Amino acid sequence: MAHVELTDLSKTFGAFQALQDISLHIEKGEFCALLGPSGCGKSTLLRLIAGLEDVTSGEIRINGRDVTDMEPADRKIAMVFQSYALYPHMTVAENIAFSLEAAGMPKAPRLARAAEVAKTLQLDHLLNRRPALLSGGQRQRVAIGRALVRDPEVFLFDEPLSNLDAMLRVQMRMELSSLHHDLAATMIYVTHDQVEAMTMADRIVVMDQGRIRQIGAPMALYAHPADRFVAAFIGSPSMNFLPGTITGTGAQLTLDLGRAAKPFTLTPRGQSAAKGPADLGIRPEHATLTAPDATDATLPARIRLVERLGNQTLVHLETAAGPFTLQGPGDLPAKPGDQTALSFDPSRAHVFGPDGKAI
Amino acid sequence: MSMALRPRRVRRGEYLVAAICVGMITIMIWPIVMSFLASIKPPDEASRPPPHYLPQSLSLENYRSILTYHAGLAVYVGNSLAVAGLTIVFCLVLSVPAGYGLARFDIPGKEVIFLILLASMMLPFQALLVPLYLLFSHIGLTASKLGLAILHTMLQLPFSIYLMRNSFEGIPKEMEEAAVVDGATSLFTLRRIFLPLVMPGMVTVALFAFITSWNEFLGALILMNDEKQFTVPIMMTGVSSGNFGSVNWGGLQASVIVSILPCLIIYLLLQRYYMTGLLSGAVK
Repeated sequence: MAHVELTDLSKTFGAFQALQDISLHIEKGEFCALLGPSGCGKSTLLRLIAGLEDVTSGEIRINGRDVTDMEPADRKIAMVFQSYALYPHMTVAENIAFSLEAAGMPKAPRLARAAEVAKTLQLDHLLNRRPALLSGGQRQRVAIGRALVRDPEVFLFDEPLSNLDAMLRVQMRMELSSLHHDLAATMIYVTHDQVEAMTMADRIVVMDQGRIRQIGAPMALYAHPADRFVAAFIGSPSMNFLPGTITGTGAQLTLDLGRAAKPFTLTPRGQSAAKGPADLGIRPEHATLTAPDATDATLPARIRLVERLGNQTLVHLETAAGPFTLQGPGDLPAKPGDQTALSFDPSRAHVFGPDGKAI
Repeated sequence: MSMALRPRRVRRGEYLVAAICVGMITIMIWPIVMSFLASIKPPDEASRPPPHYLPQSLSLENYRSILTYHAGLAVYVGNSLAVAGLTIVFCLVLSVPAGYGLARFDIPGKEVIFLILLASMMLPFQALLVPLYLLFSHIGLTASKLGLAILHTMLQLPFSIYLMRNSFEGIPKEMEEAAVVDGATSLFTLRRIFLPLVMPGMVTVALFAFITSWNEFLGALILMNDEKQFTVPIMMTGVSSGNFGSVNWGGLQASVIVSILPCLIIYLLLQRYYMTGLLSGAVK
């Protein structure tokens, strides 16, 4: 039995359908990331699980109990908000112990429990400080402490790292991952940052326009995106899409990328293909530069811009099939204006049909 | 040396702003200074035409005379404080839950209710006085501090609710949701989270209620017909009438200064809260 079960969940706000037929099973101890662009419904879904919004239709079960119509406090969940939602007039200890205070626990034991939780988060020296005197990372830890103290069955995180600077975000990402490892707790984590989802989650749920696009392990989504949306959303820099035409079907697909390009042949992976328009999807790291007259050259290109990042180089190219971004090693020989050609590895190329689904 | 360490050059615009501020402050303080100077003149010098700005001799006679005026200054100040205190309590007790409700709950038609509340500020208070007097005399609230405090609360309530609504709206919704997830009831959330956070708003409401009630004259004149129940503004009209229709300028100015003092002290003490309260909800 799954720890968190969502069955045919829908949510409307007036005439606006925010979520449609969401069914999702999350196992005990799993770290599940809800990933998608702004407005895709991921935060609404989290708020439905938390009980902060009423469900329009469908069912939510946590640990076998139907919690659909239950008050948030009775669901045995804890939530960490994007803005941390710390109480500015209370000390760190009072913030952490707030849920215990609301439950009527006497002062001494609740502060002792708060101190215990603070110690696991290295906040024990800050117990008497107010949130205004804490750094972003410390505030984030207090918010996590407030969730931990309740000993919940499920942790809900609503974009908790988006207010932190880049370095702190990387550090907190690791801290959250190790916390998940130590607690072995079920965690549902909302983010629009695919790097966070890829690095932390056991499973990612990619959402768009109130629907689930694909569910899978991070590397499965990366290697086998079900459609063009998932392919574009997972991976940074984003996948390149080159419009073409399928001219040959069967065991091998042949794709024509226009007059300037050589026909490209690959083995189909998804739904069966018919002849007609299709997009070739190539990740920036799965293309190489080659001489225009080389045998493996597929598409002639001209280098427009080169970005050196030290450990890698991003090359922005212009091709007859459209712009293309390539990611190569730091010392990749390339300079703007060079005439070159792109070579693609057929085993790592993707083809998407006119409906956006992977072929 | 870095730019930050160099003393900043004051721009011309700032001098202009400072000059305008000084001019405005002078205009506002001038009458108070004049009142004070007149109050420390001997009574006959204060009333002698043509008036002089600076006193030719100093005397506390005016203050002594208002101390023992009829029932005595202490009685009138006591009455004013009692009415103002009750007005503050009523305003807070009514405007805090009203502001909380209007800011935080989905009440059907709440914007219309709020507009009607604000619209009542547009009605001239004088037009309401006669019906109010009839109503109050019917239920026995004339010549009572409670009645006058209720009247002052009516005057002050729309603005108080407006302020409290703004204060509650200034608190991020996530903070309330965090409390809900943590199992706090509405009342516990109001007491433990909201009230401490809207304290500046409450202080502002209290301050405005105090100033309105302390200075209000017409309602007090009509409702209070027993000399022992008079408030400071009514005492001041009494003090100002001298012999044979003349004006007792010295006594009047002394009572003006005395009546300003409590407002000034409270304003200075609560200034920090008061500014935050006025601004809360105005900026994100």
